[in-house]
Amino acid sequence: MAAASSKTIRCCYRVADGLISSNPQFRSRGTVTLLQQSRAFSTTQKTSQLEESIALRTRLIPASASYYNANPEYCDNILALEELLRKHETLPTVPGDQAPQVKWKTLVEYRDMIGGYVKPSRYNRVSRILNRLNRIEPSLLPQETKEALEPYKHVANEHLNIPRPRTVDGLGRAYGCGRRKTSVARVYVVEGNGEVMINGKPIMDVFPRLHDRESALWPLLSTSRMDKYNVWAVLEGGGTTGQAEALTLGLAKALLVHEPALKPALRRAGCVTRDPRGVERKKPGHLKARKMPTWVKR
Amino acid sequence: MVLLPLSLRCLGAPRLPLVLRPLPRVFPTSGAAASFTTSSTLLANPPKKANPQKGGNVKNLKAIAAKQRASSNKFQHKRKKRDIPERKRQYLDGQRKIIKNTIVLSNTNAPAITLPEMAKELAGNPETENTVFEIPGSVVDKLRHIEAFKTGQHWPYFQKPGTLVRKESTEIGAMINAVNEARLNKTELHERRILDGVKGSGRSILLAQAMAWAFQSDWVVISIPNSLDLVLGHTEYEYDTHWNVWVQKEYTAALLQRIHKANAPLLKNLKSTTPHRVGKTEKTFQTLLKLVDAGIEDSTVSHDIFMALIAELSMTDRPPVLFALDNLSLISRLSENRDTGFAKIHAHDLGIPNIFLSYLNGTKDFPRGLTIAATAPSPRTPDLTLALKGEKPGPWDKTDERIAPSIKGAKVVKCDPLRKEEVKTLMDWYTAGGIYKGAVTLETVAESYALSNGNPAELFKGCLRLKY
Repeated sequence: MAAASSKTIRCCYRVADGLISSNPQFRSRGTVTLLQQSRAFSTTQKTSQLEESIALRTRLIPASASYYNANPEYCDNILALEELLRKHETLPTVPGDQAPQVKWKTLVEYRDMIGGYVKPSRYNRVSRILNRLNRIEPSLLPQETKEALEPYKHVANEHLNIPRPRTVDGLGRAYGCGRRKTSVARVYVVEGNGEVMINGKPIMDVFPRLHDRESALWPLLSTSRMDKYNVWAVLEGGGTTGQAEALTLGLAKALLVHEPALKPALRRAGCVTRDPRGVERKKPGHLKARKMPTWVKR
Repeated sequence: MVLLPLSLRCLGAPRLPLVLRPLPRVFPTSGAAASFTTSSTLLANPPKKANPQKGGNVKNLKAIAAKQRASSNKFQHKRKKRDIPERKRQYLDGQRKIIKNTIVLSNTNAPAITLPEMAKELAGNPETENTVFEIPGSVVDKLRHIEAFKTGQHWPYFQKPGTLVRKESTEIGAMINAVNEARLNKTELHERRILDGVKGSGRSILLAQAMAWAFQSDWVVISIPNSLDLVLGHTEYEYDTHWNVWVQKEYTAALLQRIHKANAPLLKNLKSTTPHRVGKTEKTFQTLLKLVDAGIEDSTVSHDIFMALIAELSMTDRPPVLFALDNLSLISRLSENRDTGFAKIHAHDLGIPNIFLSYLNGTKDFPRGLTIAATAPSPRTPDLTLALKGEKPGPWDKTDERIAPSIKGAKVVKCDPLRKEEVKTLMDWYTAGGIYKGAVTLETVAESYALSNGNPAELFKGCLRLKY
C-alpha cells in the first residue's frame, strides 16, 4: 500500500508540473506564498480516472518558482534581474567610467530589503548585474529598467556630496593640513616674500638639516613660488622627517587654495598625495616587524 | 667425597669456554699483525712514538694524528697559503691631524675676482655694509699666524680670501675707530664685547675681521683661537702658587710664539724698562719682543712672561691691544682638567682664561683696546646664556655663580641672520667665484634665503652643493 501511494503522489506532481509549464494562466497567478491547497490524495483512485479529472483537480501551487529554495526572496530577486538583463542585453553600453555614478545599497541594506540573510558573494552577483544594467547607454535606458534599478540605489549619494571647496579667508590666509607618519602639520599660507615661521621659530631652529628644510618647503621650491608666499605652520607629533614631510603636504594643500592650477605641477613634485606608510606592526615570533631571533641549531 | 671438588669449583670464578671469552677492550695497535677491522683509519700505520729527545710531545702527536686523518680524506683539498700583501700605512703618525688642521687660503683653480681691499679706513663706515672685501695680503699672513682662519670656513674655495662686511662688522669697526681716535687724543678707551649668535652665524669671521682692521691700525693682537685646547685636559697644566691659578706652560709658550709671529715688528719697537718676575728671579727686557722670546725659549717661565707682556701692554703710552678669544662658552664651565683631589678644575681657575676674563669684565683694563669674545654653539651653558641675556636664573636652578660676574659689563653683539640683500651679495660673489652655478635671480635668492634662514654657513653649504 505504501509503495503504491508514493508512486501515485509522484505521478500527480509530474502532472502538476506539466500543467504549470504548459499553462501560462497558472504562472500569472497572484502572489502565493504558501501552498494553498493541501489535498489528500486518495490511494484508491485509479489512473484512468486521474487523467480524466486533470482540469478539475487543479490545485494552487506556489507562485514563486523558487518556493522550495532556501532563500526564495533572493532567488526571485536575482531571477528578475537576470530576466531584465537578458531583455536589454543587446542595448549599447558605455564604458564603466562614463556610466552615471551610482552607489548601490550596501550588503546590510540589501539584506533589509530582501528580509533575510544573503551571503556577500550572492550580493556580488546582484551588484554585477546592477552595474551591467547601469552601463546601458543612458539615453536608451528603458523606463522599466530605470524604475527597476531605483530600489537598489543607496539613499545618500556620496558622489553628489562634494566637500566644500576651501577658500582664502578674510585675512588672506589659506589653510592646509598635512600628515605623515604620526606627524600633523597645520599650515597657513599668505602672500608674502618668503618668510617661514614654524611653531613660532625660524625654520633653521626646527630643521637643522638642509634636507629636511628642503623637503618641508618643496611645494614652494618646486613651483618657484618661494618669494611669493609666507608660511606659518604648527607642527605636532612624530619625528623630524615626519614633521618635514607633513609640512610638505600641508603646504601644498594650502598653496592649492591660492593657486588651484598648480595641482598637476605639485602632483609631479610628489606633494599632493598623502604617504600612507606608517610603522609596520610587530609580528608574533619576530623580534620586531621583520627581525627574527638568531637561528640556533637546536 | 666425590662431590666435594665439584662444589668447591662452584664457588670459584666461572670458567667460560675459550671461544666465549670477551676480547680485551684495547686492541693491540702495534705489532706486525693487522687488526681485524674494516675501518681505513685503523688500517693506517700507527703514529710514531713521541721521542722526547727529538722534541716530540703530546701536542705533536695530536698534530700528527690530525694530519693523518686529513690525508686519509680524499676529498679534502689542500689549502694554499695566500700571500698577504704588506699593508701600507695610509698616514704617518700625526699626519691626519696636520691635514685636518691645515688652513688653505687659496684655490688656484678658482676664477680670479677683483674685490676692493678691506682697508682700515673703511672700518666702521656704514656705506661699506653689504659689500664683499678682500683681506689685504699684508694682513693675511698675520691672521694665519694668529690662527684667525678656521677649518670649515669658506677660504679654500676662493682664489683670495674675501669676506662680507655686515652691520655687525661696521659696529666692531666703529669701535676700532673710536679706540684709534682715543690713541690720537691720548685718552683712554677700553671696549669689551661678546659676539653671540647661533651656529654658523659668522662670529669667528667677525673676530677675523676685527683682527684684520686691528693689524692694519698697528694694534697688538693677542688671540686665543680655540679655548677648547685649554679646557680639554690635553694640554699639560700645573698649579702656580705665585699666580694662584693653574698654568698651562706649554700652551702659553705656543701662544707667545703666535704673538711673536704676528706682532714682531710692533713689539720690536716697544721698549721696556720695568723688571719682571721670571721664575724665581727678576729680569728686565729691552723690548717686548725680547720678553716674548724669553717665554718661547723657556716654557717653564712662559706664564710669567705672558703676564709680564699683558702688564706691559696695560701701561699707558702702549699701542692699543686687541685681546680676542673664540669659544667663550667652553671656558664658562668646569674644565676636563683635574686637581690633586681629582675634582674638575673650573675653567676660570686656569691661567689664560682667568686673565682674559678679568679684561673682559673690566677688572683689568688696557688703556686703549678691545677685548672681544665669541660664544660657541656647543656645549650648552645655561648660565652663560642667561648672563648674556641679562636674566637671573630661577631659584631652583643649579647655577654656576662665577659665570655671570665673569662677563659683567661686556656688551653683547648679536650676530643676526643675513638680510636678503646680503644673501644676494654673497650669492653674486659665489657665482663670480665659481661656487654657485645657477642664476642669481629674485627667485633663487628667495629660495636660498628661505632654506638657509639667513645663516651664512648654511647659505654657503646650500650654494656649494649641486643643485637638486
